Amino acid sequence: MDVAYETAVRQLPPKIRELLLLFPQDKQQVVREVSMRAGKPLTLTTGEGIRFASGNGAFSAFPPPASDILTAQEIGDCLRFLTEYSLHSFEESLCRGYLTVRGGHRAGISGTGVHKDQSISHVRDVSSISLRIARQIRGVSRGLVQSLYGTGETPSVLIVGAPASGKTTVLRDLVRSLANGEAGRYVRVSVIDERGELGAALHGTAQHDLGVTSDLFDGFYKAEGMQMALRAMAPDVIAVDELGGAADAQAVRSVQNGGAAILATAHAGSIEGAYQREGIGALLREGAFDRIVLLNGADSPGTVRAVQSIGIPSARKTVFA
Amino acid sequence: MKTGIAFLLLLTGAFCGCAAAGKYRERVLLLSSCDLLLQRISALLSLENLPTAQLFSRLKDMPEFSALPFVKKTADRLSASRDFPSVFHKSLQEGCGALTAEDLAVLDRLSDLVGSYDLSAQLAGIESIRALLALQSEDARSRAKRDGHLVRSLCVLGGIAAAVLAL
Repeated sequence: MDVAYETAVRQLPPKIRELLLLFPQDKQQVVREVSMRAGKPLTLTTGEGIRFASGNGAFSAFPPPASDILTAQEIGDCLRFLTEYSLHSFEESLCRGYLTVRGGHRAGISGTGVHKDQSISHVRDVSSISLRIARQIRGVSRGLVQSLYGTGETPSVLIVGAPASGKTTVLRDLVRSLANGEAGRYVRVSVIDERGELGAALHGTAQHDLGVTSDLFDGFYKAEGMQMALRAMAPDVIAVDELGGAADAQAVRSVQNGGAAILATAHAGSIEGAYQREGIGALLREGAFDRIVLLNGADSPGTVRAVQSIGIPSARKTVFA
Repeated sequence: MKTGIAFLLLLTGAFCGCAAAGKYRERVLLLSSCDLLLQRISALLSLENLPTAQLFSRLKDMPEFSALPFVKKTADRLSASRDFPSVFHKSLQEGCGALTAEDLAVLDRLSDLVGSYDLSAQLAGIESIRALLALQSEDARSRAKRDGHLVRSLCVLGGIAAAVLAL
């Protein structure tokens, strides 16, 4: 039994749960996402593409009979089960389009937005739920930790890669490794988790292992979170996923002026592509980062293609082991 | 000897009368506790937005709800299963002292409400259940006053009659 798969699907209503638990382990391991849509059959996103549950423990490339269509009531029940009958506790994250469930899995939702004061106050009539199965891969950054931090320095590092190249997975494992002393000393890491993907906090508790000396800022916008972390937790490293435009870049500058190193990810298919991005490119040219790590693509997620030093590594932090 | 037996019969009649009347009073008190429970649920949801399992875990520890066994049962069962509607319904079905089936049916509306809607809908729903519970409380008070007195009087009279016959 695939543990991550089982903990995810066991949080669904009995009828859907039992259907999904019929799959043997080899099938469970390739399922990345379970999508439930009102008026449509249940679909599975696997490594080989979209599949349907045929009801006998096998995948089907074609939709099942009409009798297996999910109803709006069943989608509502899914939402209530996933929130452990605590919908009120998830209102804010539902307005952002997702919720984190037990085990660190994420459920994206779509439905009818209700507006108040020009923003979404809540979502009603949820019509689709996509449950993404989180599989924390420990050790994926083992080589990187040693090469980047093993000499006692704490450089600022930017991890870039194409979509689905494993940036978030590598970042999470680097945080865990640093905060567990795997670089030869314990590093204080503040994790700014705007989208709830790094720590996957549920009722304040991180569902993913982020290490002993990490502090999680769940749901904070990146710029504000970095500032707060710097003021409040005196971190050695601030970890942030998916650096974007000018506001994020300015936040990075002020954090580094405050003495912390940055460990961040950004979308780019190549190192040259990273230099061309607004915000990120400016930071790279200014020497805000000491190292840039390029990951391989989606066909080999979580693997490193290249690590490049940018100029002379700044001796921002030297820790004597 | 006969006097003693007569006295005993008199006391038994009085005791049975008081016990029977006490059931009506108990229902009034339990319904009052249930109303307080609903108020507390509203307050905790509004102020702290607690997940349902934590909400009942908090309520379980409050001494004012010790007379409502379904609160503790719900809290204990929610630690194993998060299916609140089934858990609460089952806990209610196991009875609660002098509460009638009608009282429990009103309370059972909570099983489809708590945690199933956004906060404002839940708060409105709780107020609606409180209004229904108020009607039950009114019924309980009038029964305690009318039927409670009647039952007590009948039992005492029965005790007196039995005592006289024994003499």
